[in-house]
Amino acid sequence: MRYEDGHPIPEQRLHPLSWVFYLSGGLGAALPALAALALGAEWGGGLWALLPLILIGPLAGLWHQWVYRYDTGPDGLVIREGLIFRNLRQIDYRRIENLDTRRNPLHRLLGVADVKVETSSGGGAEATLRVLSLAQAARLSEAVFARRRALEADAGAEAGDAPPAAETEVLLRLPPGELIRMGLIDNRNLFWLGAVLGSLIQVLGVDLLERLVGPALRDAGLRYVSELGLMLKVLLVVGTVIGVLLVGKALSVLSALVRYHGYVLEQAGGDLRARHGLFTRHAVTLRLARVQVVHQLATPLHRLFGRVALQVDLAGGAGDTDRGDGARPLAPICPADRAPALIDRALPGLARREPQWRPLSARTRYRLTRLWLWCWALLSLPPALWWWGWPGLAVLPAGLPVALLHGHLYARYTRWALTPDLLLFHRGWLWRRLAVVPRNRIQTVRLTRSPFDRRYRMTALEVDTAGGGLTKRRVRLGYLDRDVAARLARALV
Amino acid sequence: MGFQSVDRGTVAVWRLQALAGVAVAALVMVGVTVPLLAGGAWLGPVLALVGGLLAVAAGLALWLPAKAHARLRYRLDEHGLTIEHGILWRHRIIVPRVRVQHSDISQGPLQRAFGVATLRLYTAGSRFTVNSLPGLADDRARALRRQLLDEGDGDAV
Repeated sequence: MRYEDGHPIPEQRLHPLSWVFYLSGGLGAALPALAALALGAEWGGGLWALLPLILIGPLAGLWHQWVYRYDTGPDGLVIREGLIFRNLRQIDYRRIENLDTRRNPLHRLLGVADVKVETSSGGGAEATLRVLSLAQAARLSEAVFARRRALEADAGAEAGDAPPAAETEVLLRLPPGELIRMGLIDNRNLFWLGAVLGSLIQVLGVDLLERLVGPALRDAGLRYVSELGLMLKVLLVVGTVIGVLLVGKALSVLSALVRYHGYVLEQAGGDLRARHGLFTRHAVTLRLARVQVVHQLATPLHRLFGRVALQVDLAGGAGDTDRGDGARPLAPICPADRAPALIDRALPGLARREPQWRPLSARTRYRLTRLWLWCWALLSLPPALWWWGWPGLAVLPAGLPVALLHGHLYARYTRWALTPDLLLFHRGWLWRRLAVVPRNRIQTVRLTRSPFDRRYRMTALEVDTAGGGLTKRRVRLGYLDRDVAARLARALV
Repeated sequence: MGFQSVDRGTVAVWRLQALAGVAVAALVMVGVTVPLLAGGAWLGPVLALVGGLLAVAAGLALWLPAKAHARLRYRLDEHGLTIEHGILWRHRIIVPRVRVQHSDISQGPLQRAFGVATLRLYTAGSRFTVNSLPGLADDRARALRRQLLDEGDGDAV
């Protein structure tokens, strides 16, 4: 660090091989040209047009590497970018929340890492240092966190409390057995596989299928698939479905094993750190001060294995480019009985003791049953009447048991509780979600009465925190009695 | 202190804005249909339909602002600002004083002509970061903001 007229001038440089990591950018730019080539465009002059496109990446990388400087200043991390258009950025140590490192196999081969500097201001990483050698990254992280601790200790000494001791404690490890369970529970791959398979069949068509399985069929004395008996067709369909299920599950097990290999969650002072990954190593730091909401999800498959998944919403994570919704896994999978302890770790110092669960409005059951019956009628009646004429009206009572069951179970399993420090909301009976919101994180409270709510004298209450933002994870307590919601809102702010 | 209504002048602002929207829609619709159907047998009925739609829209443009004004009210108490609004879906938003990060008072040309302003309160939230209270009289908006900010020091996240 040197100073010019009292201004800090950063001096540390990036790793000499930084430009390598800009290659992919150049390849991306050349992709349209490559695609044109593949589609049979003439080489001729095309090659020469291609060359600068491929060179753009490394050249930009070399330039970046040449002009980029960073350093640890007295109050913050100082970063200088550009030579012609200079940009000097200073990031206050106390505002730095995370230094995340990311390493894919190429990074590991060259012994370097991308370092992302995250602050609480949201909008993703404040700066990305691409790339530093591991030693550099470690030195930077050491320096930043040492200075942050020092600054916080100063502030703490004035306020009269000592900084928490930074001893590391392992909270959760996921052995391969757990990861296999996690892959079995995860259903996302199935959807994609089904879509891919469906479109493949669309593209390949029945012709090819007949050509492939034709010989076997002919041996069995059949000429066309259409000559198969009903039983065989059903078997074929069932076989395909089972095959898709097996392959899909195998894929998700594999991806869980790769992505979360060696998952370790540990606590160091006020931070939770998670490390995982077989090829791309992820190291994520969750600052406890940033945790806004803890979500627990238990799908039917989770419950079959006695597991739950835990996620946290972090402040300012809404613009995270990696996930887009600011949610971080706290534990991608963990035994159900260990979840409360982990939630306590994520929200320290908050009394969770014995929540007094309160039900929704007594009219919820009736309202939900009616709602489902209406939906069922609107969806099923027109086609039924079209197919069968007036006898089609018989489909109407067929929806009643499901509507009754759903209304009953939803009202039974959905409940909320208010403890001195927390708002807890448990929602749903098939997919069970639990949201734990510290009351001091609540920014605004919003009560909404739709025309239907007014009819049933109900109100929906939604709390907004600095984290989350995704519709699926909003904390919205619907179907509350009007006066209950009003009282709860008053208690919350 | 109970709930208060906002300034009556805002009804005129909303009406003018809505009517301007209807006028633009009318221009576009007439501009599209007349050249397309000129001389055809369909011109008369289509124009009548468009005219009817526009008349309904104009009627709504006159009526809805008054209704919205009747439903829009606010209350400032020791905890913060509560805003109620909405005709069919009725919302009550509670913005605690300590959660206000910063605030804006904005005025468009039309609003300036009628002496009303919009107060916007920004929080550090994620889904509802901006909470706006439109239709306050200028001086009332400034006074409200002063009351909000003076009596509570902004706390962080």
